[in-house]
Amino acid sequence: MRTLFHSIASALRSWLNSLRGEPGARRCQSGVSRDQCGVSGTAAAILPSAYGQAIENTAATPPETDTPTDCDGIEEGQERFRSVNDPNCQAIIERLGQPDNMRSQDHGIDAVIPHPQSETSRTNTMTSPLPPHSNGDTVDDGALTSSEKGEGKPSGTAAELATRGVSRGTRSAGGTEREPEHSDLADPTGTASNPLGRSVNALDAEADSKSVSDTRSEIGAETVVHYDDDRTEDAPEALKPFAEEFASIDRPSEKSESQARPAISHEVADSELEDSAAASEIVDTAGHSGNLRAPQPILGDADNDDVANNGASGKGDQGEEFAAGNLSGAPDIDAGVWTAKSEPNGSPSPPPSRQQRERRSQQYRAPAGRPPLRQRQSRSQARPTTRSRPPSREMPAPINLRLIFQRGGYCVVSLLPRRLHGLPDKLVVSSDAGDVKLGALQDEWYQDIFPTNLGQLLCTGIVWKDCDTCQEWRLSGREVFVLSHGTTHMGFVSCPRLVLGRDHVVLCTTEKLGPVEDALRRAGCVDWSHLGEDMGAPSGWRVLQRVVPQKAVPLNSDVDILNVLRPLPRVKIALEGGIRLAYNAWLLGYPPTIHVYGLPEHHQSVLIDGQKAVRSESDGYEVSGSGTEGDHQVWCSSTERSYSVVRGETCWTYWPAYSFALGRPESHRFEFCGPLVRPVSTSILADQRRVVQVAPSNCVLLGACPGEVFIARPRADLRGAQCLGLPPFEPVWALPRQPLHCDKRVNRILLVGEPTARPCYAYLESPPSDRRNFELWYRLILDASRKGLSLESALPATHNLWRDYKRLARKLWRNSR
Amino acid sequence: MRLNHLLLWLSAKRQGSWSQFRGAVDELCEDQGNGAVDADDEGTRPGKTSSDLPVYQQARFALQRLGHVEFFSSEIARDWGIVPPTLALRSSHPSEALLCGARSPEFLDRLDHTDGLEVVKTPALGMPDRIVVRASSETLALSAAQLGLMVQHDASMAILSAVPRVRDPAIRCRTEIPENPGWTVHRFSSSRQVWSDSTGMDARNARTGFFRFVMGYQRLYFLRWRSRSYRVTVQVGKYVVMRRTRGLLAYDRTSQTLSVPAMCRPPLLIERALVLCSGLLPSFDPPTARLEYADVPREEVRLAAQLLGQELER
Repeated sequence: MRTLFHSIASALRSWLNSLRGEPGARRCQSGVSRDQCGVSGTAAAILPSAYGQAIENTAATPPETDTPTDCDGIEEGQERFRSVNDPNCQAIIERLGQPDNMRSQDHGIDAVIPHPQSETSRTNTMTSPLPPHSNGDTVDDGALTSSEKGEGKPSGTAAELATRGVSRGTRSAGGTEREPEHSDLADPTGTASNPLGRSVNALDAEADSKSVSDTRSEIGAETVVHYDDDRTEDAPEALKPFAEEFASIDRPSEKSESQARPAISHEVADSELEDSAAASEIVDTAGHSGNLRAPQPILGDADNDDVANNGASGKGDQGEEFAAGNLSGAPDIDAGVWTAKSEPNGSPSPPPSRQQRERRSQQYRAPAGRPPLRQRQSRSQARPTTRSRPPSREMPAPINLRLIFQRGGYCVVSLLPRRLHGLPDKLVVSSDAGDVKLGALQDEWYQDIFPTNLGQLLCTGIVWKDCDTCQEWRLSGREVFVLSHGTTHMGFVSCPRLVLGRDHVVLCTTEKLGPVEDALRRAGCVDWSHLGEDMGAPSGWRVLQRVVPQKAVPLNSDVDILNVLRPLPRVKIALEGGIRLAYNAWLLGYPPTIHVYGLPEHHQSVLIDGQKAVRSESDGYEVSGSGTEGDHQVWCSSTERSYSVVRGETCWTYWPAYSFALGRPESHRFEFCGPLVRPVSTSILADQRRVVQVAPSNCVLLGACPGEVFIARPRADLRGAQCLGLPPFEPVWALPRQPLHCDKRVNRILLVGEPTARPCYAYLESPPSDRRNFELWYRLILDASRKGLSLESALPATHNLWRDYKRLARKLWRNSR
Repeated sequence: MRLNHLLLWLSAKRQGSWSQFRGAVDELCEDQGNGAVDADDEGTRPGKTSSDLPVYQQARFALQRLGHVEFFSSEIARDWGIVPPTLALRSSHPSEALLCGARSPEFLDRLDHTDGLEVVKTPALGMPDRIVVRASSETLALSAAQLGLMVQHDASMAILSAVPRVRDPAIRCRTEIPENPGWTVHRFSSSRQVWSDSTGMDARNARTGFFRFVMGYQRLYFLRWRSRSYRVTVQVGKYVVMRRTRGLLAYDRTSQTLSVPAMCRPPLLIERALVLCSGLLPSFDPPTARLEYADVPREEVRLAAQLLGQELER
């Protein structure tokens, strides 16, 4: 027996070494170059039929040139894949009853395990931990499976692949030749005998959630897993059964590699972050049911909340769609019990046995982690490039629920459809009940819709479609909805599940009220209250408010909608309040309040910019300088959020908001902007002039120089209206239009300029060309003096100034005689 | 409503779209529905939809009336734009000025620490803090120049002096009344100041009258004047057909309070002038169902009455 083990192990080792030696050449042996394999760029996303959408999206991106980095990443992944130190590999060896000395012979393989520090860079090109169906052969398998299921024709995705040529390389990879083998691997019936096949079918069942596929395409653009099949094919005949099992068991272990996702920007909206994280939460449960972890490469673990929260850029829509629209689809995923995950620090943990894993899956261990190495990352580096990618119209947009409490505790429940990029601000979508008009609420949302039969729609689900753009909106029907406060919207908006310590509202059908309340009690909720239809709840539904869970509850391994009421013990960093100017940018002086949700014993200390944070009066965390201008980073137990504090616009200029003409003369046209009123002038110097506002009794404006006369015309249709003028000079005095004929008991001489505006003696010797205004200037002054009009101001400076003007006017009058 | 935060947000953005504004209101103004019920539920944007004043409309009208933000101006490409920071001097209190328009945390800090200025911030319901700056006129002018503020002397009077009368034909736009079916038509009763049922045929045949056409969320207003149809804002249309109605405008000299029926809110710019007299939005008096504008000098009331074509009851 011992000899047998040695022979098997040595054969296995030699086979692995041969694989490790020339992986590229091995692929070439199967007739596929690296490019053809799809190694170059994103075209390598060879996905099963369920992910046809992702293929389409990925194929729409421009292919990159053949990058050695990509290949290196794949090869590295392969190396890691083949590491005997891998838990699953060791599980096989344990099954074989491997003696201790056999493990000691694997040092050379251990050495190829990359350093954890290189995880991030590698994961950008890292192979997605797809099942073997994800390689080119799988496409054929998918088609085969479909036909086996009696669908009669290959899946549309396979056809798409064929048309795009993506599957070309995969077929040449010998897929056709290996179909019988793969048909063995991919159990079309989904029996549990092959955990991989079962999980794939589970994913297929989930295929409606295109978000999954799309996200998958981003995360694991390089899904070349040919080595599995190559390895299976090239293994010695005696080892093939083991090799197949090795491959089938080992593939899920790639999940641990997928956890190190691409370095993702922090610029994703909160909702997207929440939803993408939520999506990861939900599927997170799938991998911990005590069975072999289903390969869910696109969906992260609770351990990777930092990654999930940082959000795969551009997947927010999908994540949200998954969370909001297809939450009821969560039962499609193999619901399980949350467990602790692999060590977040990336160090290879000792491989747990199956029993150990099962035992671990029943208890929660607080996630450990390290604070981020880089405290601050420039926004330019962190900015995603995929966000500008236009969304696919084939991807259904989510419809969220919103609940707003009004006066008297009355609540209003509405539908909040998402507005994807590029969609118009007004739409008429068709539904079973007729047309629905959508108007833009924000850039990313349409305004609330209030269906009359909302209660029924929430049970049955909603599908809207815009015929022009072929865009669909979906809300899957279910019996329980969870809405949370503190999102970017007023009121409560749909969220994937209860979050510890956060205020929620739960909508449930009347029939489900009892189980829902039981679940809430288990979650440590107290003092919630009911609202019935008389208080605004939809017909047949109840609204449970003030739902604040305090305890984490294990998820039910069965398909159970009540899992959304079982909060996970995950740590969640929320940036709330303040004045947010952009996705992750807050106004200087009004930074966000940093909250950390989750059980306190489950998270480590909170770090902000590398400093240990303390609780502030607002129950948030803060450190000195957390609200200063610049980029900031919050870290807690492997969860990370970043935000920026920026200055707002400070350059405000005058602009005319309204303009009215009161008469024919141009001087009677006025502009308004807030409290500002300006006469309209065609002069380019008008902006530099001062608007003068005088009573109609003093409508004549005089400047410092003789000849500077301006008459602000009073309104004929309005008694008592002031005269607004924009004289082409700096006015000093405002006089009655006919000083000799005015009532000197009422009329005064007004100083409208500066008291220091001395008269100009320039024209004392030679009068200007405009003699009319020149004469009018000194005549008005002399007439006002002769009439005995008094000055409005009693200041001596004003009297002295007026005396100077009178003196000049008299000289000018004498010179003119 | 936390309109202080909203105004800071608007100032930081300077201008934007209507959906951005609604999003900001949605995010920054938490409590909805606690404001006074506004009987005048029609917006001032002709031809656009309006409803029973949701919170973003309340915020919009409040900011618009106070002269902080302008909405739907034909002069800018965006749906709203912030007014530059302006000191609106009050005719009744020459040494006082209201701060209107944009404000930022740094700007407010500088204002607080400017020598010679007394800055009084008064919280008020449904509006941003009223900021009154007190100083001598010379100091005000000097400080405004230092802070980069624009100054509008005698702001209320200036607006009222430059606004056209409600019956000015220049502010009407000739149009045709829709003839397609499906509209629900109402006619404004100038005597009872209520909307009554009517028909499209009546509207087209009427020599004078003010009509409201409703289809779904869409509301259109048409003025029939000398057998011609015009598009006007709802406030203008009401005052055009009401002619001189006794008791419509009431003025209390002692308290300097002008009151109008809530159904007959003045047009935007006239109301802004009345609001700038005190810096406060009108209060609603439930027993009389009237809006009361405080601290309005008599001269301003006279002008407003002339512009509205109404007699002033004292």
